[in-house]
Amino acid sequence: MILLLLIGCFFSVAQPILDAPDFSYQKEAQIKAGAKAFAQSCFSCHSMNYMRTDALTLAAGIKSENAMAWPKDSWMGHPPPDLSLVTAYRGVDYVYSYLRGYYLDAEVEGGYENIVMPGTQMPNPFSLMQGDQVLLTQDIAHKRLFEVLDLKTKGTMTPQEFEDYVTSIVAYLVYASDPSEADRYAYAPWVLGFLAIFVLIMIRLDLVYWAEIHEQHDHEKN
Amino acid sequence: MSEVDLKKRRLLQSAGAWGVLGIVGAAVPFLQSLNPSRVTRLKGMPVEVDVSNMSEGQQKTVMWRGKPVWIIKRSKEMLASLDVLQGNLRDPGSESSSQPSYAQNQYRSVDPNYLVLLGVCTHLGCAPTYRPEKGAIDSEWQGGFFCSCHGSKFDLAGRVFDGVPAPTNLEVPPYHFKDGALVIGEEGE
Amino acid sequence: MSDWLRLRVPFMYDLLDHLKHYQAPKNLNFWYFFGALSLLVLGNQLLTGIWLLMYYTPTAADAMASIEFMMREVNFGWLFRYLHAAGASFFFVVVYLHMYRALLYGSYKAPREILWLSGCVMLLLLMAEAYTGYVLPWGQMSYWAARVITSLFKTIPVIGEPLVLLIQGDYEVSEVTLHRFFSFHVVLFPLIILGFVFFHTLCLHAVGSNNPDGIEIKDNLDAQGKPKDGVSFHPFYTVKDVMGVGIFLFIFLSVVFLAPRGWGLVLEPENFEIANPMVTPLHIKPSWYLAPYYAILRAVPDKSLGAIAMFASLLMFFLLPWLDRSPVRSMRYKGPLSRITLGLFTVSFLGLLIVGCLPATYWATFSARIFAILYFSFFFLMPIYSYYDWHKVPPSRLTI
Repeated sequence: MILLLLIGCFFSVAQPILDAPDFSYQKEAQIKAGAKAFAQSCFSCHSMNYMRTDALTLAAGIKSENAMAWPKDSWMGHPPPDLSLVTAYRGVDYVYSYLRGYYLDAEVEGGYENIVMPGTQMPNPFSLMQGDQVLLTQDIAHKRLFEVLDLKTKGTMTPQEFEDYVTSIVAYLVYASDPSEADRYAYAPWVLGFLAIFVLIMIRLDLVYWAEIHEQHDHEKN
Repeated sequence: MSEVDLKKRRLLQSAGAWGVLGIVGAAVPFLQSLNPSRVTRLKGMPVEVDVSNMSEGQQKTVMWRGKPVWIIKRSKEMLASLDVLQGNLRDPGSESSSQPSYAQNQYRSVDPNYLVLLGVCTHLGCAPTYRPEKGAIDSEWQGGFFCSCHGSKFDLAGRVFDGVPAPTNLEVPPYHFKDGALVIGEEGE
Repeated sequence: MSDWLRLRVPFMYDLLDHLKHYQAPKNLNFWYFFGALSLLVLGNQLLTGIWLLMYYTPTAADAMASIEFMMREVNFGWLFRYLHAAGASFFFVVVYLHMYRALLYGSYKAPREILWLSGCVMLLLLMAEAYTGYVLPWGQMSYWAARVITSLFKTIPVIGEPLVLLIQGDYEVSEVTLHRFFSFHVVLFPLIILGFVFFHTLCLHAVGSNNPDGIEIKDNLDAQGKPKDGVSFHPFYTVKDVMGVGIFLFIFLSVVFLAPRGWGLVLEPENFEIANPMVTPLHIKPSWYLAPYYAILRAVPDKSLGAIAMFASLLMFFLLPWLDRSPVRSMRYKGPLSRITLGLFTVSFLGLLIVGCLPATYWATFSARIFAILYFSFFFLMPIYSYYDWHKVPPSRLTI
């Protein structure tokens, strides 16, 4: 009964199922490509404040002195946010689906609506590359994005090229939200391997010491 | 010694060695983090200065790694004055002073026309003042640097005079000329 | 050497000597790791805290930026931040397991009441420490958690409003509050906690460790007056504890190096967004270790009663030594009623923990109420079921 209660708590929100990006195995190359794509598609409006001295970021031309400085009241009081930590607080899948989730909607100012964040202030940055998507059904709850969105007109990129482009941007954003990842993964096997050996030594030492006590105890019993 | 004791001792030794190794390893990041951060290192990068339009006798001061670096364009007379009080210097050949090998000469510079010095007195770290005019400090004064903190005197090559508290000549930072510009904080090729 | 020390610092000498020869029961199992481990985590928090302090700036504008600066620009800065953040979560893991051990083996019962009470006070202090520390990054959750918790004190009659003003130092949680929480987190609470750790250890060594059998080893002494079932702490338990430390560090550092955000449990996603007093996050949730009490708060449909229930849920622990009327200590010799109620309590605590992290939907509130009732009945009914429960007679010597 208790289990049922808990299961009941989880399934109560209605939203489309977010897509997960498929990061390539050549992570570093993808992040580099993503930094370039970010410089091209995002940096004209969004800043990357916490990556001031990151070599990869600077190489792509993302320099904080070139970032657009928005007045506080621009975009109806919501100036484009800094993207250094966006995947950390929005979630990777959210950002990825959001970037691929624009569709044509004549009722909205600007002509595009977003399936993940309805009413978003950001104009569709990819309409030329991706082409235009349309919404197939209003009933989007618990549906995958490809089930409800369809490409109507072709863009300058093939769907695969566009997906790679967006995925690389997300890969770069993930990297920017925590650049320590490569370091951490590099140190982890050494640290954990070292500890594993330490634990093995200590278990054996413990057994040797305690054999004494157990012997003594058995002796007392008899 | 029994077999058990031998085993115990062997295990204790390996546990101890492994433990010490672990503690040393764990100390590395803690100590390493105290070193300058990436931002500080970038701020400590070489500084490029345009010296082409300096007039004779002019002093320029730039900051490099938190210290003032002076650049002085010396005139012919200034260079000639270096010989006058040669005998009163403590370390005329800069043997016990700190400078790159290419600045260990009479002019203490790569190009005699340009003097590059760290503006920090070798006595206790005060900032000496540039006094190029003859006779400014005493009757013999040929122009040079005077530290008002404790009265140390240096000539126009930053060489220290005898009988003042400063022990050595003013330091010369690593520098080189690149395409006519002066680069401070980096050795030339 | 020992005589030299004994003459000069008799107190220190006796203390070290005592620690070395402290007689611990022979049958302590893995449940007894968590005391030493909480000391280890405390050390980790103090050490990494000192390093974090070198870079952190306690202002609304720069708090988060200074942390992100440290994580990107300072050599190994990320390591200290993650060690400190994951350390906070692991602190509660080991402390809760440490307390659970006391529930299992009746370690709170006479003559260890003061030992237990000092531990309970430390739990509250640790919560205060964790809460003030949580505010420091000045993210959305930091800010809104500060607002929600301080507004709880408003429910206290008469003095509530002025008290909240006193805590906040402003009419609403602001940079002023951040400054003082910083001071509390870095100086005040750690000092008090260290004092209590010392007191707690002192109490332990006065009454001696309990054990899984829940019997006194002091009742069986040999000719020299040493407990027959005791072993000296060093080397037998130092070796064991170091082994435990190794195992713990393996798990702890796995999280720090491979999943430092702890799947949103160590560092909540919402807290990577900078604090904004104008926009409440859609779903305010506490850190997991405070979630059970928060779930109880939400389960009660009245603000004052909810706050009272929440504080009561914590105060219950303090009453435990006097609620338990069982003649035996350990769950090994207690009867089915005690075992079932402890099982239900475990489920309700974990259930409240999960529910407290979820949005307040109908089902979440409903289950929180059921769990809260189970939680409180464990304590309120204890004088009855522990008294009338069947029990076995514990052996006179330890079972190894």
